[in-house]
Amino acid sequence: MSIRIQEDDFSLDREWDALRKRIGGSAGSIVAFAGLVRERARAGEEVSGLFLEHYPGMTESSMERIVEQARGRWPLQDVVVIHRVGDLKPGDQIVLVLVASAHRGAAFAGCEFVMDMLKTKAVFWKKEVGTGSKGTWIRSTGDDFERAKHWRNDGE
Amino acid sequence: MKVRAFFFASLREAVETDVLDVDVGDGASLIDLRRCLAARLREDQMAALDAADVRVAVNHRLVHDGEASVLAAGDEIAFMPPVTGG
Repeated sequence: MSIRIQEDDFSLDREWDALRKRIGGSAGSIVAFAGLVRERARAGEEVSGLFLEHYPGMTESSMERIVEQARGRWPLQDVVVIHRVGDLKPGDQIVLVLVASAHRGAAFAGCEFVMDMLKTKAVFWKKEVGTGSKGTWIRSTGDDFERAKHWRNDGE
Repeated sequence: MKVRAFFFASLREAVETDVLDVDVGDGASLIDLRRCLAARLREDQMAALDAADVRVAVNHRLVHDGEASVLAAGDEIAFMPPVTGG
């Protein structure tokens, strides 16, 4: 398990190798998701970057809670969540989620669940820079909430 | 007693600071804290804090309709706009 917030970039290779070392032969699958900074805002405007802000302490707990919920729903051997903060440029990596499980079904579902919850429940704020003079604070979209809601209705 | 009010993202920009130390009376509630903030901040700044989608956390715990909950000295009260991670 590894849940981290950092300004620095991360390396999928390094995280992958460390995860494989931890799980040994206990898991039959790893699903990986990485989120990147898009060069265009939803409205189509070009952005020069993103600024990500968090609330030290509370953000970590919100991420831990999401991973705990995922582990309560699926048999996951290990989960890695790395979320970057600070100034990012188009093409930069923002977030990495790795989920290891005995079988792919749980790994796919667990990874998607963690991402959907990160979008709506994790304590981060994102600002598009380069749109207007002061930039634009991003809001979760209807699609983000629908995706998060679908997990609440699913099997509960 | 003193409590610390933290402001994030768009609210930090609206209030023009990330933290304010606020002197509230013993046994003060969040409502009392808002009153103290209103005395120090501009009307448009208070309007930003009073927006319906602003969530409040006391010592990292979200407070739901708990405006009456009693604060303690040193409490950390965070005013947070809607979150967008991932």
